[in-house]
Amino acid sequence: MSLSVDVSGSTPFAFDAVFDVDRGRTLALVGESGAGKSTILRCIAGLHKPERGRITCDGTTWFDSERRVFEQPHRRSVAVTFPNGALFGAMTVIENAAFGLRASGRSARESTGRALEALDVTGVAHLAERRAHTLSSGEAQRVALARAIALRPAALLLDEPLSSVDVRARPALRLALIAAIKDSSSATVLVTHDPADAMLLSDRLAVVEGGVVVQRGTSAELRRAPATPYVAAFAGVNLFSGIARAESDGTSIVRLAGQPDGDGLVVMGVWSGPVAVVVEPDAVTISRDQSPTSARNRFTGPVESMVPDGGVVRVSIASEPPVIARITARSATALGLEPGAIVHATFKAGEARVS
Amino acid sequence: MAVAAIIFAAAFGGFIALPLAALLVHVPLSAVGSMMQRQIVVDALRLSFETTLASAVLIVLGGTPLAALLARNFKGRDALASLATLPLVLPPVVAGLGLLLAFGRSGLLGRFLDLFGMHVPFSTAAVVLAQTFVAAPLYVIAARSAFERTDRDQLDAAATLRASPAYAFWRITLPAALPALLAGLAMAAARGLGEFGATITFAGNLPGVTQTMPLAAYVAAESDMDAAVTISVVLACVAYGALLGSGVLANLGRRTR
Repeated sequence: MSLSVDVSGSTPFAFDAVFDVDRGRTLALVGESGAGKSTILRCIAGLHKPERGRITCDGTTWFDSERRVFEQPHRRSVAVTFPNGALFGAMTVIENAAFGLRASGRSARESTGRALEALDVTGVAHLAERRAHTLSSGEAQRVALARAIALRPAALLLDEPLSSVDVRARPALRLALIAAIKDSSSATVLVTHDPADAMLLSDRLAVVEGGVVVQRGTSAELRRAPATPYVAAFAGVNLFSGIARAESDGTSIVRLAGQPDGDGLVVMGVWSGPVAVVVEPDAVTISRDQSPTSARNRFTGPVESMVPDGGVVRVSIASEPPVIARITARSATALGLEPGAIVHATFKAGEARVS
Repeated sequence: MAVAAIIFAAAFGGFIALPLAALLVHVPLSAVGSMMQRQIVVDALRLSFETTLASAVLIVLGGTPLAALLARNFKGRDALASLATLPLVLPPVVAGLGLLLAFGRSGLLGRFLDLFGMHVPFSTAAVVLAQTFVAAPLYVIAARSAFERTDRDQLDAAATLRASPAYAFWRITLPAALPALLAGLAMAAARGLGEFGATITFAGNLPGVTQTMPLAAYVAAESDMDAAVTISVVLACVAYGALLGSGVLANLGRRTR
């Protein structure tokens, strides 16, 4: 039971993608905007016809250029969410969520029941009677998500589900996404340009550059052996998740998951509840001694690996939590860095971006 | 400069309002009731109501699919769109002659209809056809533009939610376009109601059969000015009401998207 994709074409620009996703698993299709992620997603949905290749899902062929098979979108067991939600504005939330089931010929009663269950999963059952065009973007995305999973599709395709949402609403929406993905047990493909979303919501990543999937693997695999500088930068960000608690001075402390006894991370702004924190490796400073700095975040541990990347070096530090720093090769030499050396990795609260 | 513009605007507005005012002044409101009972007026009212309703039905049935087609991209679309709009700028007499040569006893289509004993010209059916021919473009243009405004993402979403193209049309495209369709239909019906040239050429001027309100007003103007003016006042009021209603509907359509 899986979704298997092998497509290529030249409109609207050249693209070439090969990957597969098992049921119950999530693949993140990542890349910069305009890289061709959405085009690949539209091919799976049947909204765009690739020139060559094959798409099969749970043993059913959706597209096969050699055998001239092309299933229309409404005949594929697929559901898509769009970046802006694409809700049916004049309908109520429950009518939106029940739309797919009604369209596939289910009774009004069964459709409404299953739609309500789906709305409950994404946390918007209380909005059932609201008109869709009155919703906030976060609410709209949750309804779009419920509308998709109510169908229990074999393939669930999520196109930038968090991009239109205010940063304040992202952590909670991400939890709703996790719940929906888990509930659907579909083969899920998530399109995103955000490393935090990709790593928190998916099992594996496929990185798209210039329309082509350049590398596939878990985030750890990509970090260990990145095929391109973009992959290195994307998979190499420091990502922490934990529970935030606001302090009185306008900062917040994030207790990291799995490290209840640690100091936690200091971040700017007032946050509470589960959050993800992103720190660019360029923002991390490495020192050998304990000299005091203005940076509030400091983690200590041995150097695990050093990967040269042009004139710079990516240094992985096995602290708790592990931290990656990107420093110039010259600095690395001056500090006498080598695997096993105990170092301090520091970064300012302002460099820790809550997302 | 601004003062001059206001004066010219007011003068032009007055120029348009003046004939309408003259109509309203001619027949005292108290007399309209009795005028409405004259045979020529009663017949014309009934016939106009029936034929306009019939042509509105034809316009919706034929114009909606045509507009949906024109909202899509295909080769020759612009040529077809221009053809569908042509009756709007064609002199109505030309339309009437064309219809006569098409549906007349020896006409292109008429000669076949004749085999089945069907004679369209100078019948009530001819009135309906003339109104349909002349008024349809107003509906088709409004409907096409409404269909073109349909949210592309919503149609994509519907397609990936098991909706066949036909189902998506009924559930997504049509409801979203409905206010604009009704607005276009109001305009078309008002135009059909006022149809004169094509009707008199193709359908003639038979009281009770093809003599619609504009024709009756024209005939009555020679002998019974009060009846002519009464009919004209009714026509003007209905047309003005259709325009107002059309505007309200168009605004409604913009808000609920």
